[in-house]
Amino acid sequence: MDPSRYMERTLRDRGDYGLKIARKGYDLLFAADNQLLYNSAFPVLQIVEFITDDTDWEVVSTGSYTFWSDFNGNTLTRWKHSMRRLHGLGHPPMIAPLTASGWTSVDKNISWNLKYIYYEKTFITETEYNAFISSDAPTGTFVVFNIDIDTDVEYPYVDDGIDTEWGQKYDYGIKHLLTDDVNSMDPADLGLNANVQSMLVVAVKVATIEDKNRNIYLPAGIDPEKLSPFSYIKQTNGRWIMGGVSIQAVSGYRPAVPAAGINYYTLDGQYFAPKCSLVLVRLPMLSSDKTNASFNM
Amino acid sequence: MKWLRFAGQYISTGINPGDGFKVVTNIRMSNQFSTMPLFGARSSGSASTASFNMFYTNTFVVDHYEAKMQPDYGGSGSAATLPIDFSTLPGGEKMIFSIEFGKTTKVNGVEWTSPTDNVATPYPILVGSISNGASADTRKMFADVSDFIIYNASGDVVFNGVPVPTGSTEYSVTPAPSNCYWDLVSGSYKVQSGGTGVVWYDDEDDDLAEENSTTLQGVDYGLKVLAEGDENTAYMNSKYPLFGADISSPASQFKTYEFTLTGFNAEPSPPFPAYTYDGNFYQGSGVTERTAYTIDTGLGGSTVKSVIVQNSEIDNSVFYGRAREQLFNSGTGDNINSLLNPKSKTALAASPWSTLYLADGSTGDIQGIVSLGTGTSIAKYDTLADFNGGTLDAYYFTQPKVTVKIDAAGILTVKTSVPYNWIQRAFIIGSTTYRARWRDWIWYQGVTIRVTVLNTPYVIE
Repeated sequence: MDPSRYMERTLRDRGDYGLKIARKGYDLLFAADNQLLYNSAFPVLQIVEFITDDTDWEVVSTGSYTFWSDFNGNTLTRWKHSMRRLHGLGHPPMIAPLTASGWTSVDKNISWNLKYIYYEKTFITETEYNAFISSDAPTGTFVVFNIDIDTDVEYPYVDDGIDTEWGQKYDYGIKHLLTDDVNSMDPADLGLNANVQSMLVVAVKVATIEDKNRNIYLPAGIDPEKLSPFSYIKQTNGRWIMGGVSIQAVSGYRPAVPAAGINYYTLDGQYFAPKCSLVLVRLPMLSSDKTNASFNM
Repeated sequence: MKWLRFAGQYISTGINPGDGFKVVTNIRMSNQFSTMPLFGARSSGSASTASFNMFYTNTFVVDHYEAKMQPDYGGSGSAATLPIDFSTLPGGEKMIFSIEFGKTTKVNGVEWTSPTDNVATPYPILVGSISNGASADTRKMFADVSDFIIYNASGDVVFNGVPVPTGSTEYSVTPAPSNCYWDLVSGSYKVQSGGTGVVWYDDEDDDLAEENSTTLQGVDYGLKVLAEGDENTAYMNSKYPLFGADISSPASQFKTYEFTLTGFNAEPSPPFPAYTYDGNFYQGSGVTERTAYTIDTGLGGSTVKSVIVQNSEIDNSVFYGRAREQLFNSGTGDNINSLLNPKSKTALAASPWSTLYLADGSTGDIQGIVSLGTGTSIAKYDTLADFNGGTLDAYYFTQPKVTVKIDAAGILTVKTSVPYNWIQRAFIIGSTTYRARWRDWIWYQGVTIRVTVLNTPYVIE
């Protein structure tokens, strides 16, 4: 591999400030990352909100519009429903669909920038448009994470998960109450809750059209088999959309396939858009309960 | 950037090119498979004695198309070709070309210098086509053009067209009569001068959000961890819940299930029709689907989940096929009912794959084995009693499949499907009765599928 294609290392320093809480049985002074109940430096996956069919949106425009055919320059009447929602994060967040098809069928109706999330849907016929409006403009379900997909960064938190005793009750920790009931342990009433062991971001890598061939990311300290990639593409209008897996045409990224000797990710959405971002997520530092089975097809 | 979009229309700048002239602009376009005049003028059609124009060409060479920008600066024969690679772009996706066209032309930084200087023509520079003498080139251009600036030999701007939409009063109290250029030099609109349809306008900057536009919402207490060097960005804000598993739950919320496929469950039963004694081959294909495994994960309750599904590699070593031949021939005395193994087989290979899905309640069906490619797998057989001429190559356009699903009650269900083909033939000739039925099928054996479920405590209301 041509070394000039490797993306610059942007490893964030562990820092010498913040908040750490050790799990039961571990001495905080000597606890490894996977022995911590909480570490404020962990790049946690935080849920800003769930977008559902019931989410309130600001309707920007709706109704018929003049569609220009780039085939012959003729104009036609088509219909469009355009709405937006302030996310207020100050950076473009990570947004993922909550559907089984997920990343195999990217929804390009949803886009976002550092201020708003947009949902725009166009219709060829008025009947389709009316059906959509009369169904209260359903969007499907998405989750918005507080991850800045426009800032290239890598994190050093790559320890394997360790065994965990479930059902432990801690009489110490940290929680952020979203209710007046200080005793509440209902997840719906809490923001940050140290009992919830979060999935973590290992890296956000951003490739740009200006240096489009510098697009190989080789994860450090963790096997790509333990990572799950999420790809995003910044369009020329400043909005981000979900990217996909590049099979023949470039769509976002080509995955690492360690078993086939490919231990790196290749970002490629920047070949047709200003930026391409790849967010690599790992599971919490817990080991999972395992069940094996075998059967015939 | 603001654009005028063309699909066979053109605009005359009213500027005739002189020696030493230069054009600076941007062109945005998807892959096109025909020659397109982009802008300029020349003294006549092909083989002009004077030319100041630019083409896009795309020609078929042996087994592929080669797209090029073709600056044509000077007399006949001075055209160059600057290659463009659209090959990896998704269909319809556009590239932007930054163009400086003149004695030295640059397209996205790639340079070419013309050996000649004879460009002066008495015909105007068009945008969206070129002047072929007194008339416009009839070939259509499908592309978007941004600001269009013409410099004379002294480096003075003689035309500076900025795209404006119909009705715009940005540059003049007189509203723009159509989507067109406003020429900052002459202070006038330059509107569509030919072609069918209309020129379109696109402003891709219209919704660019400003930096530092953070709006902080919600509670006024809590804990934040700010991004290093950027006090406006909180990469941890305690008001947001964590996407993870709650270890205070009495049972594990984080489970991995690894399944190994060990063979096929039952021979497929194709829907053979009743015998028709006409000597024709009747054939078809299908899949046998079944629920192969279910288990209660204990992760019900319509919670939000992360589900990672991984499969091991698919290659010939895990790809199996089998056939059953049933044949009765009263003339030869054959009465066969035998299972056959293929003499060779070729799987539609698939890499080891891992995908993370986020789901709300039920996951729906998730592919347990991801094959990104499309194509066929093949199993080749030697047949008995000369059925089908002694050999049979079975092609499969559908591959063996595994789907996994976790429903809202937390039940994990694994379904499998085994594809099959069937053939049937029968005839009666004289005292000979012939009946044959053939079925073949394929499956995977030794493939592992790993499903890792992380159950969050959150339910979407």
